Amino acid sequence: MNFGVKISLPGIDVNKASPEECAVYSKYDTFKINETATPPHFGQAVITIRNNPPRDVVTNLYKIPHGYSHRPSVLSHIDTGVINSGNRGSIIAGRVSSNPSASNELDYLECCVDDTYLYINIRQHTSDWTGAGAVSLSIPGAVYPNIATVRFYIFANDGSQ
Amino acid sequence: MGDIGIKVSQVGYDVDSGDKNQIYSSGWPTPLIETTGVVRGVDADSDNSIVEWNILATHNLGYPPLFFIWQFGSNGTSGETGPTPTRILYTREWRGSPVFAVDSKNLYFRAQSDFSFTLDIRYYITRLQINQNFQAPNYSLGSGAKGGGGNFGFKVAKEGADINSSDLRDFNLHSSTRGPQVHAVTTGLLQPGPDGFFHLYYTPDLPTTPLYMGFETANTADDPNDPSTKWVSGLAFLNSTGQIELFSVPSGTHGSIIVFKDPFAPDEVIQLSL
Repeated sequence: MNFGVKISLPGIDVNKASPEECAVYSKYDTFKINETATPPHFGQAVITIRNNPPRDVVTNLYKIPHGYSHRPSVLSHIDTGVINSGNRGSIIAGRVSSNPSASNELDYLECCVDDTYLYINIRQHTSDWTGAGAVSLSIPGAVYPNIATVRFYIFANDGSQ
Repeated sequence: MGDIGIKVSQVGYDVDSGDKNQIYSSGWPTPLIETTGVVRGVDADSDNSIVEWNILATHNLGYPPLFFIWQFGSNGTSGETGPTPTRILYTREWRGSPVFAVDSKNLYFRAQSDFSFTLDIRYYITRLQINQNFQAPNYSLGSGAKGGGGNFGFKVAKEGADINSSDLRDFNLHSSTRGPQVHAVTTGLLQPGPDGFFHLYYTPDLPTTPLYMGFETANTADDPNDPSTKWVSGLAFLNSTGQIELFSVPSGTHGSIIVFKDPFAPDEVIQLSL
């Protein structure tokens, strides 16, 4: 059916604008964060890591129900707070590891969802890793507390099936 | 043409209270979702030697588009137990993760050289072109306070969906929601730095720290305008001088940095400690 809303970008004739030349084009789905959800579906968690986290276990730092009957998708931005080689581990990711050259399964800060909840978790491996490029959560000799930040945005859009 | 356009504020905010309070504005494009799909249980590298690109989905947009990947569960190497969560996948950060790429026709994946994995993901392909520069005006935070507002707004249901549905997935647009809007796309050849590696920079002159993503051409000497050139997720981060930096090891790669106006960092901070 031919109905909907189309808003072109500045300087573009809306009658000739392609979808790429529009700020809004209702024929296509968009990512949607529910602004009225409680607890809020967008948040900024500031995590103070006062000492080495517990080793070899997943420690949950934050957990909220998302309220959907389906598993949503969540966009997360993780800043480990550690400046290493002049740079920060500050990226869009679901999981940031201390060792970007190895598997990310043993040592990480993560933001994820299941069918019911959103989680922010931390896991610290038995031994620290201090190689170049590391964005470790607990570099030996680092000055504590380390401050990490996780921004999360829960989309209504499907995250799995 | 004069200065015309349209903007829609969040519920409870005056429409002139500042760019931060807009959920839609004709000044910033909203990434439109071209297609989405789920791939589960694909053994992508059973013999630890297959590293060729495999087609994951065909979009035929004629340009490399912005894409997102959400992964289910873990990579399967740590013996983790419990629920298998879903998280957005950053594909160039760790060995063992699959690598994804787009060109003007397809979305692809491949294994990293000596790791195996099972592909359990949902992908989203948008209609935002990542190899073409775009720059919106700087935005303002505004000073308007939330005023309560009323039950007003607009929504556009998907074809065949009930306009009165309570499921937000039934709508392409809904003014009780907000989502990513694009502030800038910066492309270029990564330049050598004093560290011996290669870099592309974007310096945000913005009142907040924006979200951003990076992509780079998969091979050195790839023509960024060649329709068959593949773009992979790159390592983009905020460096110590406040620049968004795309980092690459090999010379001759082209990069793209996508900067989002929205979603903003939320005003309210959740304090956690360990």
